Amino acid sequence: MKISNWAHNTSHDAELISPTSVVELKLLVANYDQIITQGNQANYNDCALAEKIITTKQLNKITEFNPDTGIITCQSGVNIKQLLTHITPQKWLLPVIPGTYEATIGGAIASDVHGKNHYHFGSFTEHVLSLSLLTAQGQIIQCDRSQHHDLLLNTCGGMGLTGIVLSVTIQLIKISSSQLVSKQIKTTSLKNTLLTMEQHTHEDYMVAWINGSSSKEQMGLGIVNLASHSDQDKQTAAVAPIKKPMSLPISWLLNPITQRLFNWFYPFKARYKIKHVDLFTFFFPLNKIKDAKVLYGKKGVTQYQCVFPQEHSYDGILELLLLVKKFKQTMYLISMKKMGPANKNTFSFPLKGYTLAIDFKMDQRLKELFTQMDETVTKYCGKVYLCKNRRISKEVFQKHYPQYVNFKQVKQQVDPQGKFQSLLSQRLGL
Amino acid sequence: MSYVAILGATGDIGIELANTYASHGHAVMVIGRNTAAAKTLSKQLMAQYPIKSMHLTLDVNDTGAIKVFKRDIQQLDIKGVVSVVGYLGDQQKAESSDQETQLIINTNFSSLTFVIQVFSQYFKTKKSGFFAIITSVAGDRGKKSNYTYGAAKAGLSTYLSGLRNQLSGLNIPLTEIKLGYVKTKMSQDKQISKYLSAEPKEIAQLIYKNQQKNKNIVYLPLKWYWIMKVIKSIPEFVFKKINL
Ligand SMILES: Cc1cc2nc3c(=O)[nH]c(=O)nc-3n(C[C@H](O)[C@H](O)[C@H](O)COP(=O)(O)OP(=O)(O)OC[C@H]3O[C@@H](n4cnc5c(N)ncnc54)[C@H](O)[C@@H]3O)c2cc1C
Ligand SMILES: NC(=O)c1ccc[n+]([C@@H]2O[C@H](COP(=O)([O-])OP(=O)(O)OC[C@H]3O[C@@H](n4cnc5c(N)ncnc54)[C@H](OP(=O)(O)O)[C@@H]3O)[C@@H](O)[C@H]2O)c1
Repeated sequence: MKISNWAHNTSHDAELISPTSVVELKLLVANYDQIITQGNQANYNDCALAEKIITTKQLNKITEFNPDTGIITCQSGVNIKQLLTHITPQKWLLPVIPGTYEATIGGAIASDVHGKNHYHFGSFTEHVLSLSLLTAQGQIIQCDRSQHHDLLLNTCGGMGLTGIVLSVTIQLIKISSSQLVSKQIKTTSLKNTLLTMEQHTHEDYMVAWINGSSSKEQMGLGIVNLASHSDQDKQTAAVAPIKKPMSLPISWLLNPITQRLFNWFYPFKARYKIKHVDLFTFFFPLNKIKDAKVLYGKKGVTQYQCVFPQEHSYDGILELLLLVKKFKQTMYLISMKKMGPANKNTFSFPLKGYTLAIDFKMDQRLKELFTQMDETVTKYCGKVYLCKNRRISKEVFQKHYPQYVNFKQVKQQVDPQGKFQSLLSQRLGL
Repeated sequence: MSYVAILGATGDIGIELANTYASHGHAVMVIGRNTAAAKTLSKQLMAQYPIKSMHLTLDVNDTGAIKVFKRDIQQLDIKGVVSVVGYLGDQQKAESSDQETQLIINTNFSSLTFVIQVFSQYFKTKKSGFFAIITSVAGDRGKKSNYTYGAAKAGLSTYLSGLRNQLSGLNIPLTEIKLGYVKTKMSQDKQISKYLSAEPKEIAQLIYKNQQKNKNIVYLPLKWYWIMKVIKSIPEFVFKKINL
């Protein structure tokens, strides 16, 4: 069966194994020499692809939730949507929410995902109190900050290569309301965008959408979208009903011309607006689309996401945007987020500064552009995001993640035969 | 995914049975006391047929292991169990060794009934399932060369008849297969006429067919029904003098 990711930029002939219980999972995994875990394939690359794929789809039980303490325990196949639907009526929230509700808790841990509030709460795994991991040798190991800490640091952000996360305990945060007050501020240049973001760190959430069609001089202008939890609930229903994702192919609509029009028009619509929005509308604009094929056609989309340290953010981002312009490639969606300090996970992506993500329609000519972008990122001491990146070379990867040596040591201990392998891990020599 | 559990799958008939079920598209749970052999078989099935397979370790004489096994199978979806477990043992040795006698009786009867009991409870809760249990024609009449084994198999047959009675009406059919001679490692030391012994593969396919038809008691190969009818009809005063 052909399996592909959300972005539809790569696919692989694979056998999909879907156990219904932990016991079955454990027994099935014992029979494979090589395998990789899949949550919901809500990624942009080959990190959850291999010839044999075990999916956690049916391991989706919320096993314990204490509404007094906000501590929740669930199986790794529970997805963000299911979890939020369960906890928001009681005014609890995941401290970190990625841009897709399809991601599972296991996937969120394996990519150590970040949200629009990294400058407040760090990344996802920083809120994980403990997790249980099935290793290649068939052991179930309980990892937390006091036991098997090194294994935890390499499992969080470890792209599923240390084993299968079975169950997770997370500390949630209390919120005043699941309604958000959102503001949009139009900016005039990259400097202005960055300054606006620096001035609004008191807001709960922040993301900037950049206009990729502006002139060289104005490159980096766009709108900064801010949001904070409202003081009171406007709606009794905590979460607005989720509309069925759009599956009508509208890829023909997305072409360089419409994109320019959209980029030009969107900031006007924004100006300085304040409105009340519900959680799902704010966090998951892209979940209105079932998969990227709908938007970008058969070849899918590829994203280039990287992060720069604070002191190089301006130069790095500007150089990248101008580089794309030089290559005359259309940037379909450009977002920027403010990041807080890095954590100790071996492969965690965030570091204090700014992250930039650009969507491109898949195209062979992107190769040379991406190689040059990698050089820029390396030059400014930044790094690329593993779960979004489909092609960086082993050399670039090792420069961006020099701690890979530590990972290899841990991998050697828990998985000496290399049972957990994906196309990504083979590509990067992990 | 629901599995057919094959208990004692790593023996000669067990291997053929596992392959037969897999070739008919059933997911197979290989259960054996030798983990490495169980794993090898399970992987072979997955490589050869488009089915799922897993392996579990269980020595039926290990009561602790049965407890763990009982807990684990609650999380698995099993549609039926085929038991091939058996131990012929050494009758002569058994006559001077309590241990050997115990091993023969436990493996073929008492321990096995504990495991069958676990599955019986499991199927009753699930309100579906099937049993196919291999016994032996040796249980039909005791003979000096293997009467401890024969008695244990006879005990099992009686147990199965009672269990079938209890399960009838509960959508849990129980098929007992009384085997005659089959060319396996169990019978390798014996001089058996070609006419009387069958190939494991042929037997496995017949077991599958009869189980699928939810038969109650079958002799395999069929001629053993008649052979045993004759043997059972021999008066005891004659039988006790025959060298069998
Ligand atoms: C529209 C969209 C928006 C996104 N927005 C963001 C964002 O804002 N921030 C961000 O950080 N990311 C974002 N992402 C990326 C996404 O959050 C990650 O790729 C995430 O890992 C996907 O989770 P998944 O459950 O679908 O896992 P998959 O995509 O199936 O797998 C991802 C990785 O996790 C591993 N994995 C999955 N389950 C387990 C498990 N139980 N045990 C061990 N390993 C496991 C896989 O092996 C693989 O390496 C976005 C993705 C999309 C499609
Ligand atoms: N062959 C014949 O002529 C013949 C005739 C009549 C009846 N039978 C019956 O047919 C069945 C299959 O026999 P076979 O000829 O295929 O012999 P076999 O190869 O010896 O098979 C017996 C199976 O039972 C397993 N077993 C023995 N003790 C066990 C224990 N304590 N726990 C778990 N499993 C155990 C064996 O495991 P290992 O693989 O680890 O040894 C083996 O898989 C037996 O019940 C036998 O009594 C055979």
